[in-house]
Amino acid sequence: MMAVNHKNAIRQSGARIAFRIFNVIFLTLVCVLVVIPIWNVLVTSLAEDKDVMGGVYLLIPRSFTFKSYMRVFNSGYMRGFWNSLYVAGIGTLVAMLITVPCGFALAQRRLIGRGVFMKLISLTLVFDAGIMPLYVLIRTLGLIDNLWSLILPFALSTFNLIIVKNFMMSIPESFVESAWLDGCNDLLALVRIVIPMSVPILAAVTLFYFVSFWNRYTEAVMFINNSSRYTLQVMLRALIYQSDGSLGEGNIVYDNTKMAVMVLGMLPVMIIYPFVQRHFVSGLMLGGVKE
Amino acid sequence: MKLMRLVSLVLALSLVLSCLSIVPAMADDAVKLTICSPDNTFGISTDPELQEAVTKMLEEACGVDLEAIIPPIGSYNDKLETMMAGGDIPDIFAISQAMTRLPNYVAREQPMVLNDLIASSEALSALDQSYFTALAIDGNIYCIPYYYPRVKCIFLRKDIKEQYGIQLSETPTTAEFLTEMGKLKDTGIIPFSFPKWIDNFQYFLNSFGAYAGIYLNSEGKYVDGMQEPAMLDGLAYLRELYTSGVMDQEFITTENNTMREYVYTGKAAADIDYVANYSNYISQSQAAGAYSDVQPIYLLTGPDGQGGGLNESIQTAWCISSECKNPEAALKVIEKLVTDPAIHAGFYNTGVEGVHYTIQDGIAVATEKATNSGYAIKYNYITDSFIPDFSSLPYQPGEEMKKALELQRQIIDKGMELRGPKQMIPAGKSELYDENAASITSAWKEVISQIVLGSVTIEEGMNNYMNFWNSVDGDEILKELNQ
Amino acid sequence: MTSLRKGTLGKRIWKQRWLLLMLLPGLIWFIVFKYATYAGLTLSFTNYGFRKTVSFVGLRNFERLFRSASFFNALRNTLLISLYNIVFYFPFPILIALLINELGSVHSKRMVQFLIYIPYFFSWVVVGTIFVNLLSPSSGIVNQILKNLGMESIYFMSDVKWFRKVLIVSYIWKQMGYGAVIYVATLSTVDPQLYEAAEIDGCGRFRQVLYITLPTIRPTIVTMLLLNLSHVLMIFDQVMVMYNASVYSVSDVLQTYSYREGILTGNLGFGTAVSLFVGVVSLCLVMGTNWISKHFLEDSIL
Repeated sequence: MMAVNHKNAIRQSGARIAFRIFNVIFLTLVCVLVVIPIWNVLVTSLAEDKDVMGGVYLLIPRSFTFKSYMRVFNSGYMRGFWNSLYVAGIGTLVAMLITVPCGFALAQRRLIGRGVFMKLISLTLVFDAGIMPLYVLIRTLGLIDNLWSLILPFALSTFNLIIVKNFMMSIPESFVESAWLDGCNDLLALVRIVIPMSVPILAAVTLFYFVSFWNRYTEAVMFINNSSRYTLQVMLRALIYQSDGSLGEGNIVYDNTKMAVMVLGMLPVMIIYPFVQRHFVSGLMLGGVKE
Repeated sequence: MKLMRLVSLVLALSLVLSCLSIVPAMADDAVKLTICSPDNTFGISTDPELQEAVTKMLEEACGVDLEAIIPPIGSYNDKLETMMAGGDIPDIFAISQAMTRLPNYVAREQPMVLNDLIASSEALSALDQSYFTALAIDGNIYCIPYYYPRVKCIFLRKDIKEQYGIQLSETPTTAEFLTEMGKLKDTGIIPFSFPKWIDNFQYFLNSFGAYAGIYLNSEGKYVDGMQEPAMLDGLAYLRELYTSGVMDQEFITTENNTMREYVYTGKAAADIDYVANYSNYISQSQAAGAYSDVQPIYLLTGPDGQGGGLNESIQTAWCISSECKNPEAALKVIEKLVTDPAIHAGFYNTGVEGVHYTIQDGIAVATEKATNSGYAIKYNYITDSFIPDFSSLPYQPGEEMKKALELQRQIIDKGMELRGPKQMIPAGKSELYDENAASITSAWKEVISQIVLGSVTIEEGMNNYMNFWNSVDGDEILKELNQ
Repeated sequence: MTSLRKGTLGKRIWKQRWLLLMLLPGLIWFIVFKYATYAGLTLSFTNYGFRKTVSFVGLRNFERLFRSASFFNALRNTLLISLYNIVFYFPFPILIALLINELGSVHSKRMVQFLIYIPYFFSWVVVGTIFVNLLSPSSGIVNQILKNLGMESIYFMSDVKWFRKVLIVSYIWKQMGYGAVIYVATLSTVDPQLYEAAEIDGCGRFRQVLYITLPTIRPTIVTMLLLNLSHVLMIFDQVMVMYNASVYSVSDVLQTYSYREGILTGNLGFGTAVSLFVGVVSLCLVMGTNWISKHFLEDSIL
């Protein structure tokens, strides 16, 4: 019996090593495929004008200069940057403040009218009235040309709400009940027990919200009139496309500047990401407590 | 909890910013108007501070308070449509692709009839009235253009032309164009760079007397150009341009400015562009370190001697909203933009002295701040606008540019003379047509591009088109239009 | 207050006051920003935007819709792209998350996650530009490799046979990290003691995944399937920035169709009719999936 087990273990560890090698190779391959185009963007953004003229696909750097970045930095970029940070920062905060309690409430099976609420909410997943009715609504609320018009309508995403709700449903109800015994109400139970246990998913959803606020373009153009309140995405895209005007006005914008615009547009999110990322995996383990 | 600390940091930062971003409201009794125009105006810069300087210049010149809405050019029509449908029509707004869009706006009664207002303005009545009446609908003028109709021709780099012995006149035949440009095969140079805009194929269709879309034929009847026999010859030629390697093999993913970049840098020998852009080729190829003069090819003469440049008619023009409370003041603003040299130059290109440029020895030099936001000093307005004389401005183009502009003037005149047809179908004539106009356009664009790229044969393409045509009741549309 | 406590419902509501209070902001948001805008869907029965005077046109917009060949083409493309998305994109993040979970060191886990998540930060305009460059027949690296292998270069962006594949591949490229993050987060909830117990029982790694990991993340998988489905039916930005006239026939989806015919021509009544139709199709598919999940997996998501 012992011998058989031992043999099994050996065979398994052999297969296991093979799998590990395969795994490393496969993931490396995926990473390489993901990185190549990004690498090209990076190399191009750091190249001199003459090396990118006429559209070439650079993978090996031919020159190294921050000229393109400086150009974008000095183009009124900072104004849009602060607007974007305002919208994304406040927006994410408001969104989380609405999403988390709402998701928690919906995750409680005892909630009165839960089925009806869920049906009402699910319906918004499939029906989208389009931008016009939203424009009229924003206008009625007096929010045209106000940065809050980019925050409030997007302060909740049915998508993220359902993700949060489903995650919280996987937390056994006994945890909440045990909090009651300690004299907590539902709100305290959420803050003291459920939120700490949901850190990985909350970190993920925070990031989703931030990125969605950060990258929003169409609505920013539609709801904002004064260009000093434009967000970064609007200004960056304008910088790329302006030279495409039918009359050939303005300077030709070479690929290096375009790519620098792309990199700068996502840089803030990239900087935040590592801080958020550590929470994806290091959340409190549910297994620590028995049901 | 690091996450919490981060979130609170972001929150604190945002609150500070929110205080900073409150803009002090203006309070005076001047007439208030909203003006909407894309960001390739207002001094051509994406920097809001620079745009504000131009708005201020305009406010001072007209004695009104302006609320400027300057959407990015790529989203301009979406923004305008949204504002119109939402009930926020700007008092003064620019329209693009005027010939296609104006009938649509008029059917929705958005722009105001301007006949009387124009008559009351001395400066505007002094202009050649045919500029206004060209886009009149039932005798009513709805928009005020601010430059000549647009015509496109082919520009061919002279250095490449000489090097490879390409012999092409300014009006060669279609066959000559094919064989001569074919000399560039396997040289690594793209013979003829073309943008993804399918409607530019009309340049070549003109040589065969074909017209893409519904048009009024010489007998005064509306017909569908796709179903006319001439279209088959035109398409066969376009296909040959592509298979012979003369036309850029990747035109369908080539942006318009990429196309220009190719010619500026010498990667391509020729492209198709507005005659009024001639001087850009001189200055921009120089800036790219690949200077060359370019030769215009106004039209290709077809087998039956037909042909004409690409006529895009009046592209952009000013309208006044039918709901504007103060049309006189609005017209005053437009009048300044169209007829005042300093305002016109500043608004459409050069901006404000000390902000966009400084004057050194009578020559304007762009500031660094302006250059970074996509601004460049160009003098196209000198040849484009209805204003005959810009000599009152404190800055003038350099000698070289002056020469180029003189040539450009001649090229524009010749281009105007040799331009092909452009058709306008009044809206409101056939409900069915108005509803389906967009579908019809995208249908022929699809079929033509597929035929040129070879994804379908001419026969298959035409069959697909006819299936579409029948599904929208095309014959009924023509019947209604012809009533 | 005492009157509230009297009835059993009142009593229950009072007992759940905190819970209901927490629900309230979200509920208000749904009413204001979703349900209020749904009033706009009634525009689909009018000629709003098309003429100055708005009039009720009954089902005319829908009649026109069902007569148009372009509409059915757009409907077919939407359904096909959704199907491809579910078949090819959907399993990818699960696989990646499971494989990342198997990596030994925390550092390499983070590294891989970080790298595959970067594309998600780009907007579609940027991804569109990246793919046009990547797939260019003359300069793009993909065609250079094809040429080195002695094959013909392919103009992917204009080829009706390839364009949908480009859409799916670019979708995977951009969104794979996004999906993987959710699964990775869910995987962190698996009780490590379960694995230990399985190991003692002589369960191999593969069987651990099969019997412990997958059942744990099953609700997440079904949720994501459903959300993904509702999402992909609304596909717009991606197609808008990547398509061109020559591939309309395989790429024009309902949302781009609605945009061209509705917003761009000011014919909002018609555009809204398309939106309403998308909603109905989406509702059927999502509810169908939910029903299947309820009956076969004993998990209802919505």
